[in-house]
Amino acid sequence: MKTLLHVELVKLRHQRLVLTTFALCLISALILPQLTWLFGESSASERGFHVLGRALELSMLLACYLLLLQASMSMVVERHDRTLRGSLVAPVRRRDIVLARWFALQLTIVLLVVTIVAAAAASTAFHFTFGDVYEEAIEPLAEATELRTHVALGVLHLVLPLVALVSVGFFISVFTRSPATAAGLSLGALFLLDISKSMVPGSSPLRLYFFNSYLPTLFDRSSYLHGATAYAQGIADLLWLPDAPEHVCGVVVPLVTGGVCLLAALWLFTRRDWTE
Amino acid sequence: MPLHCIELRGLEYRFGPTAAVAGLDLEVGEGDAFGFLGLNGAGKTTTLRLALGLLRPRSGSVRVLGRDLRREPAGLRRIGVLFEDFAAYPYLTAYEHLRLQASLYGLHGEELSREVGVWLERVGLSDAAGKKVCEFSLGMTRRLGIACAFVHAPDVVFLDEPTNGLDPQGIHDLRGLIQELRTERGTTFFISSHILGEVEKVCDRVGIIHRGRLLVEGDVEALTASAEAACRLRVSDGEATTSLLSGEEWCGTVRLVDSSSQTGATLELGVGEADVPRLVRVVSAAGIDILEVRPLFKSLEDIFRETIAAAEHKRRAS
Repeated sequence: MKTLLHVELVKLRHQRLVLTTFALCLISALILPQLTWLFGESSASERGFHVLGRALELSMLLACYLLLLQASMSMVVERHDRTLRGSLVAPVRRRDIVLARWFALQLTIVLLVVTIVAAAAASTAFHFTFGDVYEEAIEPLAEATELRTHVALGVLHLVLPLVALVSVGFFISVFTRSPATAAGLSLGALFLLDISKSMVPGSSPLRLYFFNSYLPTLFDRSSYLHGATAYAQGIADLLWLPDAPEHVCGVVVPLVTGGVCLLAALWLFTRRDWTE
Repeated sequence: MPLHCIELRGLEYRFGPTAAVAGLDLEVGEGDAFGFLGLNGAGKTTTLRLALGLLRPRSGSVRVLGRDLRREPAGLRRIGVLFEDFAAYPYLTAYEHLRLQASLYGLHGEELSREVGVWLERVGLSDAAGKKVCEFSLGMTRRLGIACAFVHAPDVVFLDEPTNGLDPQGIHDLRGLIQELRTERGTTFFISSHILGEVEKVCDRVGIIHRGRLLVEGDVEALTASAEAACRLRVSDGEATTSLLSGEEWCGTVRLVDSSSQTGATLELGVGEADVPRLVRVVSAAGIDILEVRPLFKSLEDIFRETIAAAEHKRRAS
């Protein structure tokens, strides 16, 4: 397993799609705070947390698409290029091949998120400060330590959906036979999810608990405190709190989705016939 | 090590309604070089994949070195494989690819570096070791595939159309490598191919598969020796020789192949090697000039074509 993981990481390090993903996300994380400073409405220098939050959200959205694409290509490209057979006729268990690749993809997420956060924080710190929030009040509306925790939790809340998304992409990669089908299916699934989200009635608990539609991110709270955004109507104050039960769904739903996809990929990979 | 390195018993596999392998029984002994022959789509590659555990047989059993490789992949450590369409990671260099592949077979540290270096040198890729695989020609990729199949010193090697894409020098080198490993290490080879000349040079046993069934199996020497003995005779007078020999019991079939040539007439005779001196005496005594006498051997190709033709004839008749 250790050898397989090493092999997977060496392969990932050389793949163009992985390098492109890192390059694009890095550029995005570096450039967004600079653009906010140049053109943004919230250009006041003390709004560091707000600027950082927005840069992280947008960069992570980009990462989400690119990681999904990368995960959905991981197995199918090797199957299509017939390089996967090298592992299949090596003295390793098929289960370990799947797990090593899945772990390698998860490590990519961690490394990418660390890169994005470090780059966005450094770029933000160039023009903005991360101090207590006053916004014309005498007493601080929020202390810097509290907002720092919010940003950290906000990042964690974005990492879990990425884990789930990569697992969905990985399953598609095991399931399909051609890279084009895998790419179409994974991006199509993402759009389908978005469409189905809008079709579910607002009052439905599915909307709240499955899609987290009315769940604002913790970055939203920083922005609100900075006066950069207003409360959306209908959102209870309680939802801003990190320990609100709705946030638990934000952890459970991605973990369950990721786990189911990984198990399905394992089942399929270990049982199928390799006719290619 | 068991007596039979490869044992296939009652093996069956289907692609939908089509039987790719139908009740195949086959044994390959330790140290043998077994040539697995067949037309395109006969079931050679499917059999190879079944043996390696890439496919699950619908019925029957597969044992390689006493193990079912689908259930016990650890057994693959002693097995080397070169597929017909071998592919390497295009974004890695030849050195990196071979190193990764060898590490999957448990090689590490100094042994790994040493073996990778040795095999890159051996297949003539040491100068291109730092070059990315995507820049390789077909022949170079095949050479890398050969290195991947042998780098971990396997006891059994499966080669699927091994000469594909290799230049004459590469084919010669591969032939030498197979013979060397058989002599020095007693390595067993299972070679699936339709290049019959190469198989005849390298293998001591062959099996002919057609429509998923094994039609013939045996030693190459025995198969070619069992073919009808014959010789070709070129003489000054074809018709006189034909009438002279037609009545002789020791001379089998007499067939005038070519009588129009100005350099004499050619006949094919059912005369074995032992009767050639007698033939020369009889023909010379009749005042006919002998221009050439040449024994005719049945090649593996002749046997292959005749076997396939007979199977097809039988199938149409039934």
